[in-house]
Amino acid sequence: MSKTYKYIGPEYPDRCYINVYGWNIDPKSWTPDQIDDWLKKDPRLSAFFDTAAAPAAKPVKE
Amino acid sequence: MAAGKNIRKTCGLGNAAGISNVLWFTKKNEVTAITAASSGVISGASAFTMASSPTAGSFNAMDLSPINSKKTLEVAPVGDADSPGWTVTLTGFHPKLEGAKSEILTSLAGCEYIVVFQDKNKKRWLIGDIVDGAYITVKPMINDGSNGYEVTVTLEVSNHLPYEVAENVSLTVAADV
Repeated sequence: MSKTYKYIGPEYPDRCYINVYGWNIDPKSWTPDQIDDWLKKDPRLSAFFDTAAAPAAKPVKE
Repeated sequence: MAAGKNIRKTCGLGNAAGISNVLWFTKKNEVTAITAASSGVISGASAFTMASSPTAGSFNAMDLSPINSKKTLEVAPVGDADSPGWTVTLTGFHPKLEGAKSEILTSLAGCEYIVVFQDKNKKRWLIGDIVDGAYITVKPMINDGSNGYEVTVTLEVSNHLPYEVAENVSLTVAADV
């Protein structure tokens, strides 16, 4: 099962970013890989994401 | 409120003089609430509740000169023993006059603002609140040594020294367009 992230940080409008922990960042728009990179760079950003295991994909009937 | 507690020198790490090269400002009415400070510090990711209507509230960033001597914060005691308070004055310099900048800066006149700036210790500080905002005045200047805007943020009277804005507070900032 792959890891998924749900953004749970403060809401902010489109065409905005947030300044936090000394970063100017737009975590709502990050891909999972970008989130992984940022969490390595600054683990405090983990408070902005709910990490959950994604359910296994269901087989599709032909 | 705590009074008469010891204040000890902070050891470890450096203590860098000066103000960082950017400040953030928003019209007072674009913030609907600010979390109450605890021990002089406002904290929490959602400490600033931005207005959602008529337009979504956000801070704007203003770059300041990287030259330290062109940026100062002065908090001066005012009143007397019966009515002590402080005036807060932050000055900075934004280099290079340009028409588009003058247009934006002209529009700041007369409104009240909530301003956050950062010092070289990476601590952010708040000037103004949702009741009593700060004023931003701008003085374009060209002389033998400089070309730009002298920017002054003034909070007339405050009953508290500027509050610290903790690292974990998210500021919603408008992107460049």
